[in-house]
Amino acid sequence: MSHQPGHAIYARREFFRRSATALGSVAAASLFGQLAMPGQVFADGGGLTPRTPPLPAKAKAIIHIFAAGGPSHLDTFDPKPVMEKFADKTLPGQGGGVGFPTPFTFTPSGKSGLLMSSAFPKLAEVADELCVIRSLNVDVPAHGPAAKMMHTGSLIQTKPSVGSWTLYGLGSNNRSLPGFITLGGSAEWRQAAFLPSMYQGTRADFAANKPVDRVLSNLRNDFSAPTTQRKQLDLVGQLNQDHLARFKGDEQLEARSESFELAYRMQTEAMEAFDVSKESKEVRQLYGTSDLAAKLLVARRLVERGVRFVQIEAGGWDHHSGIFSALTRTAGAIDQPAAALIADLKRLGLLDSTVVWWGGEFGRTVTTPGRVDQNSGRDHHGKAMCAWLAGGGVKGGMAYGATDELGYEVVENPVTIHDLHATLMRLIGYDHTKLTFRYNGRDFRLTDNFGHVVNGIIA
Amino acid sequence: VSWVRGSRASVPIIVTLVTVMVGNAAGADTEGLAFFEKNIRPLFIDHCLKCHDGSQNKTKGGLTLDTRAGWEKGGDTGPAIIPGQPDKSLLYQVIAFTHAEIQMPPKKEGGKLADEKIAAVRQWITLGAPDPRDGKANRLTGLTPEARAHWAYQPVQAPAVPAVKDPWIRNEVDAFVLTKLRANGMKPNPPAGKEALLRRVTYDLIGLPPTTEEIAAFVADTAPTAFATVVDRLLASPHYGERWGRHWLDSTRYSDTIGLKSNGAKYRYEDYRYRSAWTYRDYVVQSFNDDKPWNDFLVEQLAADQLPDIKPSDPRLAALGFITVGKRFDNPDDIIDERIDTVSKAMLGVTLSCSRCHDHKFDPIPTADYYALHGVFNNIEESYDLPELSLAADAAQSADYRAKLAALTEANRTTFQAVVQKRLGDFQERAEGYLRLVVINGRSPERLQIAEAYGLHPENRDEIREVLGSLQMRNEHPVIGPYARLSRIPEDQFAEKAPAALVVALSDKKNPVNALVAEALRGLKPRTLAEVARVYGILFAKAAAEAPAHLSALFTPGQPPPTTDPALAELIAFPYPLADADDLATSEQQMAFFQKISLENKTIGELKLTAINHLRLTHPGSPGWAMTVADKAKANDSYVYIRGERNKKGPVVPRSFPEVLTGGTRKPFTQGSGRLELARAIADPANPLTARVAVNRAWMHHIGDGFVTTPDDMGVMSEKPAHRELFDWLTARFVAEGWSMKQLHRRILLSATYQQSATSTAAFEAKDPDNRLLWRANLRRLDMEAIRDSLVLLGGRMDRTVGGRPVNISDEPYSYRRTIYGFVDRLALSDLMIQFDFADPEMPNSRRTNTTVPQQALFFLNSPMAADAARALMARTEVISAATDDARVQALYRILFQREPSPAEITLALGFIGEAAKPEFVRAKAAAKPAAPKDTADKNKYAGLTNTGTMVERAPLKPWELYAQALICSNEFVYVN
Repeated sequence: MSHQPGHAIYARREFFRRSATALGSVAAASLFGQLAMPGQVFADGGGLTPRTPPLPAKAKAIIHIFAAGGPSHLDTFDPKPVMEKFADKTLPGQGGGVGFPTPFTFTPSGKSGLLMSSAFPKLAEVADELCVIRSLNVDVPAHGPAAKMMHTGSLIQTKPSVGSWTLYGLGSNNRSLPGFITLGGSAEWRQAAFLPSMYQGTRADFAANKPVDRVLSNLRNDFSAPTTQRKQLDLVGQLNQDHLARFKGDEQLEARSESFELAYRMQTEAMEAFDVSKESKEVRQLYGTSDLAAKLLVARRLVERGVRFVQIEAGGWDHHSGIFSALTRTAGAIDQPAAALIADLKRLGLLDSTVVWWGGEFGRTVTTPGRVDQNSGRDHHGKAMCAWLAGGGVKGGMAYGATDELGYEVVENPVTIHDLHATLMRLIGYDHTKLTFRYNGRDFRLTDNFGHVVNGIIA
Repeated sequence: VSWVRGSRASVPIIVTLVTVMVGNAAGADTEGLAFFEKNIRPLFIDHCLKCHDGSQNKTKGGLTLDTRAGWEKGGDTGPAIIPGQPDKSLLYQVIAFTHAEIQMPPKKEGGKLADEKIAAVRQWITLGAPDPRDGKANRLTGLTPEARAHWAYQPVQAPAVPAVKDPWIRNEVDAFVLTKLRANGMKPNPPAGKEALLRRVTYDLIGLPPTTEEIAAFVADTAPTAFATVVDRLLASPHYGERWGRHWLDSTRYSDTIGLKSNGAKYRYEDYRYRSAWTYRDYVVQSFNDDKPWNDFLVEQLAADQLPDIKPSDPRLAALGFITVGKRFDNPDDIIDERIDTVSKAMLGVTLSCSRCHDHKFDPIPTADYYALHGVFNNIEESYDLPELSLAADAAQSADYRAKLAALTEANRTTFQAVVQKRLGDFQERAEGYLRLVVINGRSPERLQIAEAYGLHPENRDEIREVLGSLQMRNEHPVIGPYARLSRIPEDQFAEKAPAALVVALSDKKNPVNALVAEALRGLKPRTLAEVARVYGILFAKAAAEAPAHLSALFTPGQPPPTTDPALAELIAFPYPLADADDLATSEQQMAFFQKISLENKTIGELKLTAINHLRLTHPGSPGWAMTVADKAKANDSYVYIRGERNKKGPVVPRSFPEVLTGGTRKPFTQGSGRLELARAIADPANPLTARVAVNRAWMHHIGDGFVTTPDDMGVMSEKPAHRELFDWLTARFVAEGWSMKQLHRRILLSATYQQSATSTAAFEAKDPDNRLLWRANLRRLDMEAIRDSLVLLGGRMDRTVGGRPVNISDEPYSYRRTIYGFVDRLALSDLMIQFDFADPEMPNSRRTNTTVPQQALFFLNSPMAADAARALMARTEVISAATDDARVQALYRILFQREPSPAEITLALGFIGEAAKPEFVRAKAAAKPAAPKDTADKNKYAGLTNTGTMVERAPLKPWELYAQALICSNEFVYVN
């Protein structure tokens, strides 16, 4: 049996009837938005109603920092000292180029002694929270398909994104904010595909210097003052009540009526959530002053308010050449904000219930075209890549899996992207094989027919 | 894990049974079976069944090993074991790690087995693989008699109309419905009020609300035919096609964009927007308006170009957009798959693309049937030269369009020629360097040295790559061929083998070498490839001297082709195939030509390809093209791709229609790609699915839910249809009456079932909460199109033009065209479309989801569109001219809700207006700081197309406008009961 939220065998109303006990009242279930086609039989009775996942789990939210471009595993989290011997040497089977030892140094950090690249001095301070996966891999090392794979579990075909599945699984914990918010990134990475559109990521047009009322569409009102709008809403409420009386408390009508109250609150609460100036000076300094810093701070504010999935694009990792200076810059941009995010979540007691996930779409070659000098870079490589997780029930201060001595391919505890997805679903309390959605006669899931939970990294 | 324990526990029992059974058989078998029990069964359990246990539904690679039949049948790559022949047995090869591709068990399950275990398997297979485990191979498959017996694969048979008499009954539909209701101890609702009914049917048929006049006329018409008159009026409206055409466009994943930014080789040259997808949309609208028989409609969409009476510029050619407006992929097989998926879901209501990698797991559709259709879609091609449809365009605008197109085309030609001339000059000057570079691995350090030595500087990387990409190192090439051949000789054997190889190259009669190249190379005894490169270098330097005169003649339009010596001309034009200026006169010729050469993105960017597409898409004087396909000259059948992998060839399958739908009369397609035959097979009245699918969707749009709730899948996994008899009866009538959609509408709409009220009854609600038995009408929310169209219409500003180029329906400056004419970008739908559940155009989606989220409310409360509509409502004549406030409220109710307000509602209205006019609200309004319309950072978020026009004025709404907006926000406005 699948644990589809509001299982497929439930008719919509049946769902409400059954969930009424848990939620207090039918209307409560309707408050969050719902599918309202009469006779709806697929699994959406609950819409965005918050759900208790079937398996014990700590994580209630995921923050995905997507390092678009393909970060080099060799210069970030997978040190290969042996490579020093192969500098400027041709390496058979490595597709040309010459061996390129990392120009960064790796130091044991934290109590765990996790090896951290000099590109991440601040992140090294929270090394004991990080679970580095060194054995990820992807079939197609091209930006488009690989990034799509990382976000949806599918290289080519259109499938729902990880964030959509997360929201589908957990429902929303905040009436006044979208449950899945993206800050940057392609539309393909937030798509709900065949899941109902309420599970689609809402694009927040956020930037540090942008007015907060422009962040979500129609948040800004140029036509009436809040007090006037309140009056208007009271009138709408009365009109709806009369209308409702004619249709005997139909819950889809109640839900829509309630959605106006949610919208009214969303105006102030969303603006508040995106307003980083509300944070203390100390906290803002902790994150830094860049746009990316503001995005990570917003991510924390959103998660704090019950948003389930926040996705941030923190790209610029396509370092084909000049990797030393370029990666120093790219890593430098995320180093302080990411370290701050982890520390800040911990300070607020939110790290246990929030998975922070950093990673790109593929790794990079152990060789450089040409010769080893300041212009050296690395090309795309799919056989090995790395990512890290922190919080949300993940073991900290560890590295999982291993590549060979050069860092060319995985030799120990391989983790496919499906495995990573399966693990994320497990962290939020779902067996990935059972979180399914029936579409055109087939039960689809995030991991298609693949994926194993990586139990070794779950605390 | 529990299954291990369970299986182990069962071992002794089975052994006992086996012993008993085997006791009557030969002694040798006993020995073999004992060997199996001791060595093989535990091995299977420990190492294989985790992924290959049919009883647990674990069938990786299609292989199960929990029964003998499982390995006999084998997986996707054939039988796993050939008894007696371990080396020929796939299973043995795979576990012994001697198979080229598959090695088992996988690393993460422990990797290669211990040698003694492998030896045991070898011995067991040598013994004849005795295996007592009877039972069917447990493989999840739809290739079963049960699946074939599924109701939807049975012919449609019209059941007798139940002989039930009741004054409620208006037509046959009701006889079926009432019979079922009575059997369940229920009864239908009384008829809906006339106003509600008119609102319902008007939205249903044309997607717009009725006018005040239409309401009055219907209420006044007391004839029994009054409702039939209304239905006929609406079916005759051109807006009918806009409403119902849109439903079909949901099924056919209509979009104005290819769904790819610039990626694959072909698509780098193309705009991400289709030139003319909208002609397909207009064709669909027109077909509904014409009540084109459904079977003809489907046939045209697959094969209009092959109809016997088709003419050039025939508007029916636009139907082929059905095939072409889908999502594009870099891999042609993915495009074919997308098309098979669309045909099967939209037209047949089955999910054929499930069979791309394995036999369908639920429906009786083997992989071979998928590749039988693959063959059809693999044998079609698209041209840039599309038929212009003779759509009326203003003569002056048409001339303006032609002039602009000509200017862009001319600019492209000259830009391209300049680029080519520059590249050729550069190549001729540095040919030696280029030829040395092209044979060196792209990542080698030597490459840098050579590049530097020949002045090929890194800052010209794109240009250098462009030339290198064009070199085409093919042995058969008349210019580069000899060099290509020599380049394949290993360096240490070069001096020894090169002279002979050169002789072979120069005497190849089948691939004659360019005379000048041959002359330069003849008798050469090179010791290194670099020496050969030098000879080429000298040759091209000579050609450079003759190049300017040749190119000038070639590149001047209207000039006859230059009379240069052919061998020299060939040298001058190397490595770019050059076209005469007169062959690059149209943008279609240019597109086709540019595709043949290896241009870098930078050069493509300089060519105005997107600008030309933009002009064609947006200029009112452009003609509109039918997005056609044509069959390839010679059609080939496809082979089955094992597990969907192109390089794993299975048997070749003749192009044909899925067997289960042919009633045992399947014949291979023989005409061209087979598209027309496919179309006719789909439209065949004997096909059990096509008509059912159409009827089910029509019913769904009228009633709120289909007989089958999954309109794109009527396969084995779909829910049992409610009202199966009525469904079949309606379907049979539909076919018998010439596949007329309008007739079908009439039959449904004129039933008492459709016309009953939406009022709820507690007892029935408890019994049938989803109203599957149809004891009432369903309360339904308007979809995105109906909401936006109502806002535009009720504000009195709708542009009623039917058909035409797409507009931006989401952003300011607003268009007042109907929503169906909105530009649809499948890769980036607008926020408005997403928030209001627009059908995802990534794939066929005949049924909209219906979500309620606060973002929808924000649209009604804060969007410029809502404010614009509120103002426009208050500016309508009947509102302005209302003599009293009461009359003004009445006018608004009539416009928005098509009914009279109650006295209480008038009191409520006037109370609000009194409040809103109070000084504190006026002060509050003043406090609201309107932004200047120009300050629109989020303007044109949906940037595919921008309208011209004015922005909505940013100023506080007046009390009456606030009231009008509140009415728009209310549930009554967006629900139909």
